[in-house]
Amino acid sequence: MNKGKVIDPVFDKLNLVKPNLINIYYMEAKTETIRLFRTPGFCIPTLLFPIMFYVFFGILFSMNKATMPTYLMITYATFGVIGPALFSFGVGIAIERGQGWFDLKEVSPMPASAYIISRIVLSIIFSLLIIMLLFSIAAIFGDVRLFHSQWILLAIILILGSLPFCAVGMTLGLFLKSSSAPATINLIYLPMGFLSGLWLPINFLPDFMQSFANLLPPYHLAQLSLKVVEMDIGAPIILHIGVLLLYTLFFMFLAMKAYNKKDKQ
Amino acid sequence: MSTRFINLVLSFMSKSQTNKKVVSVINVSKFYGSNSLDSKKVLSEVNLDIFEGEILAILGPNGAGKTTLINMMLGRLSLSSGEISLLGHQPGNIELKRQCGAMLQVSSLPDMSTVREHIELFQSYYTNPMDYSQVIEFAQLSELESKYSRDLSGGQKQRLLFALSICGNPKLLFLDEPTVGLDISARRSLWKAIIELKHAGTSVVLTTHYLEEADHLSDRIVIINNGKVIKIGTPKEIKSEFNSKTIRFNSDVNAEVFSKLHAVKKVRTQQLANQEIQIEIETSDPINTLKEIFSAELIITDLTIAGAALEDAFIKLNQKSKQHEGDLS
Amino acid sequence: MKIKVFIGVIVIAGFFLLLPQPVDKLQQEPRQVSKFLSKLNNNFILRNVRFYDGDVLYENTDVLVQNNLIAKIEKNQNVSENLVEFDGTNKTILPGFIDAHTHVYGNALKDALNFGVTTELDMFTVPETANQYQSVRENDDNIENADLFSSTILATTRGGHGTEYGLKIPVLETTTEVDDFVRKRIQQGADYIKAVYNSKQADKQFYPSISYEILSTLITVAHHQDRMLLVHVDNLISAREAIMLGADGLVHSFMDSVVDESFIKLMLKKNAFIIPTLSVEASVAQQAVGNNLLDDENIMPFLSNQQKHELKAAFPDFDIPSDGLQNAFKSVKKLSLAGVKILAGTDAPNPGTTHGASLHGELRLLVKAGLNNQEAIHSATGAVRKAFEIGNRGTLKIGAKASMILLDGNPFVDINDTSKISAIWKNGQLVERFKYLDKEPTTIKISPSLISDFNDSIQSTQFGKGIVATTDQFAGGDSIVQLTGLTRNKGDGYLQVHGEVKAGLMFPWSGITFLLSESMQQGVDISNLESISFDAKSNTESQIVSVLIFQQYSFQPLEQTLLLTKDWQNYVIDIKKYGSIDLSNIVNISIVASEKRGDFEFSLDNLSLN
Repeated sequence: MNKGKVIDPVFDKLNLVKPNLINIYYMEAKTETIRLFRTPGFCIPTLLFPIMFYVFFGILFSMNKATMPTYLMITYATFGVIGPALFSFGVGIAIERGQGWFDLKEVSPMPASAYIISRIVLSIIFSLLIIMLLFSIAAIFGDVRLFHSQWILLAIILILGSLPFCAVGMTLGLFLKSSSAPATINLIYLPMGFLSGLWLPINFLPDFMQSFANLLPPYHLAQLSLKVVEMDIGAPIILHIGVLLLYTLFFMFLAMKAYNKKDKQ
Repeated sequence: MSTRFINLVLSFMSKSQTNKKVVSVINVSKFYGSNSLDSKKVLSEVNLDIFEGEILAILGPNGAGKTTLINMMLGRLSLSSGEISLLGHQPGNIELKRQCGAMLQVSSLPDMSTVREHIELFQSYYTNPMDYSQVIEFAQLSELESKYSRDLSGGQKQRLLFALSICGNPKLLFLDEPTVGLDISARRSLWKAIIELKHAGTSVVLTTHYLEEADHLSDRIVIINNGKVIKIGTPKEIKSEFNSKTIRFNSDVNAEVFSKLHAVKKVRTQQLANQEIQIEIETSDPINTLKEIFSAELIITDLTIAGAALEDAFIKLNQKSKQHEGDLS
Repeated sequence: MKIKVFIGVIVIAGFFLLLPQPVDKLQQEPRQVSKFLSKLNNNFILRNVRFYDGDVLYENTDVLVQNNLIAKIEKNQNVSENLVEFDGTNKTILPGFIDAHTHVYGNALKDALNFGVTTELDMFTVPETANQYQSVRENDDNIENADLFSSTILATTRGGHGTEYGLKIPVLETTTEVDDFVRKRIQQGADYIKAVYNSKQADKQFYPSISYEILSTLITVAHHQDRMLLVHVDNLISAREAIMLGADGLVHSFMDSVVDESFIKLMLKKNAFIIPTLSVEASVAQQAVGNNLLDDENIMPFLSNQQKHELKAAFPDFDIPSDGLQNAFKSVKKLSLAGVKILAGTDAPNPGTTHGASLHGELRLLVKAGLNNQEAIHSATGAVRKAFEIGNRGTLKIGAKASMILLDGNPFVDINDTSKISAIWKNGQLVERFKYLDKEPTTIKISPSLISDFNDSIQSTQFGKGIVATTDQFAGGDSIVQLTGLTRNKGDGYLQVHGEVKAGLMFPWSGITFLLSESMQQGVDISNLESISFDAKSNTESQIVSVLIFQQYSFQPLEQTLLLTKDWQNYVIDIKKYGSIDLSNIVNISIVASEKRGDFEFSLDNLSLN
């Protein structure tokens, strides 16, 4: 007899194959996404802010009708795809921790990957929405014209580039207190966007601030995207990808540390 | 439906078999700090077995360590020493989780999902979830399936959390203060559901500070205080340890006389204002003790006889353990 | 669930494909080829056609093409019933033309093919560009571009010709560097090596040149590594030295003098060839030959806007004597009569020339110079094959790939008929010709206005994109400049331009540029304006400044020079003097110091267009 193992042939037969992992991912992602679509407090700022800013600065009050609509479409799209990543991970996780809901999910048979993947899918869906809305407005009202390969390449770069921010958001969500999370994350998101040259072109900022922007991941994502239309500063691709990768790895490491602290309050 | 039936039949069968252990806690301690001597010991040398098909209540005041113990069983806290094994797995193992359900104290649920969506999501985690309609029935959520969690009352919320804990057809169910905030009828309905589950073969571990609940529901109770297990036993056993009745009366006779009576366990006296003495006799055989008192033809006034309640047992046990500790230190 | 995801993906993909693409100014009309002609592909027979195989002219014969190759040249052939036939009566088949001297970037090879030029020999481009096309030139399915052979980067010295285009290229300063240089070029895909050379004995030294010794070493090393060595010269003395040293060919004719008997004998003895590039020589000599092509109704509709601009563009005036072009013509005639191999090349896309179309112009110029029609056509076909190792290109012998053009006329009678192209085949497959819709983007007309008085800012202007510093550092030079805003009199702001013109480039410069247009897509129209005016003074002793105007697509500005004095004076520059450029599409006006090397300082105020 196996020591300590409870074996009951009838019961064990009832435990058939493992539950379908893909189905879990699907259910988790679907539930999270529907939930957020029903939450105007999330949807409206996430979708509207980049579009509003773009309409103002990129179309109505644009400084150079030939280049600004394209340039700002790209930087505001960058700004826009970072939002869902930071908020769904950052604020979402922090709040669930505060509710005790996070702990309930942790003790349930939900695979940890499902939690993360569902949020990534959610973030991608919102990013796609923002991209499609922004591109449409830019094409219709800003007269932006790009080759299909460019439109698509931009979308791909932006979506892949939002993944580092999922990692950042995850770490923030695991460290921050739920009450202060929304405010703290906004305090990070908005200035970081501005200092990375997402609101106004980077060369409008004084030189030392332009150098500082190199430390910020949104700057690198924006530059990578701008390369598609050759409007970037001209730094090598490998630099931008490198910084984004570094941030991703670093924050994934931090997040794992935070999560694995089993003896947590 | 068929699962439930099979479980029911099997549970009757299993009652005639030797009881199998579903959880064994062996010499488990938990302390915070550098070494075991000057650190804060939250649990010390806890030994506990939980058997299949039983409801085990963990009872203790706040800070006693019951939350710590449950969290270690659920895999949320690491063990400083000792072993815990549940259904043959380590705590936190996902195979184990697929056979467990938990109802924790949650301040609020994600508000913009419906009751149905919550349940269906949790069900997807399990290999063999319970029939959806059964879950609704057990948790009494019939009219509320399409309501968003933010629109649920406190009691309804508790029922949803209960539903989430059982929706996977768990063999082992953990309930942390399950009836807090429920009104009497809701509480009793939940008790009924828990008992039904037990009959269907589910083992239940619950923490509660409602003594009536522990008394009513549990097959066995574990009393924990200051990180130590004080007593494990059925409610009857615990009460019967102090299965004494207290005979109280006033008299002017010397109390020593009564200690010689039949089956007297303890005699306590209290000086009253009017020169009388109030005498309390604890006896395990009150009837014969009384016979002896009357046959002594003593002058007695204000005679009352009371049975030990769990509260009393609880308090006494706590006093006993403090005394024990005092003896040790 | 999977269906939902699938639908979602389709919808998203559909969205992206619906997003608008740039309306290409080069908007292309679809399918110019008649339905019948479109069947002539891979396997077909042309009957009763005038056929020139690159060397031999058949007045009337049948040509069978099988599996993309010339299979049989014979009258009255018997073929299977299913084979597509074409009646070529009164039509002419020539091998696809070869332009033996071009520079390739952008749409060059596509444009070339559009005019029946199926092969180009590039004489200076970046290896990355060249390799793209070189790697596919043997592919049968390479039917969208002409085939490319290239020298990749040319051999020149520091500051020599070739370094003025803003590309950083390796240069030769000592003979010890030659071996490595040639090796690298070959590594980077050079099919032959090209060098720029000017003899120390020559009259005019326009730019620094590699030495005689380096040229000699280049020839030896190149030959040793199995590559030809071609030389760019612009005078007879340098040509003679180069051929004597063993160069395989000259890539230009020259306008300083006519060839003499000893030179002709030398060319024959060394079996060297010459690519006269009369098209570019004519353009340098300010003979606007490009415009003639624009007037040709068989050429005009197939030119893109960029090509039209290239043809309209002109060189700055280098003061070539009026008989210069005639010298070149006479040289060509003499060399041809003596039997020296003449190859047709255009040096496209230098100002006044463009890929493809200019080859037809070159043929016309060769005839004008004195070659007969067949000799001219031979210089763009069979002659090139004799000089270069290019497979069967330039000929239509049995077994050659059927890269050829069908002309609706007889170029052996009228050379202008080469542009009457009915069909183009590349590697036996029919090529669609691109016709361009005649839609020039309208440029904004500028009315007289102040550009800047420098009172508020030294950079912002009333219109356009402002004033910025400009120096030859853009092209690899070392000049520097600094712009400062100062005030004079009572708070009247002005611009001080201070810097140093450093030696290094052939044409160094340092000063300011005013960008007239908001858009990077096009310039502005100042053709109805009279003058540019500004107040200026020199801060050092008298200072010479150049006022340059750049039209779009051209890197060669037109220039007027002024002498500034130590006092503020008002200067008015007549715009009409810049008449040879297209004033309807101007992108910038620059005011720079350029003549003298050294420190300079001048001040400007009240810049305006009137």
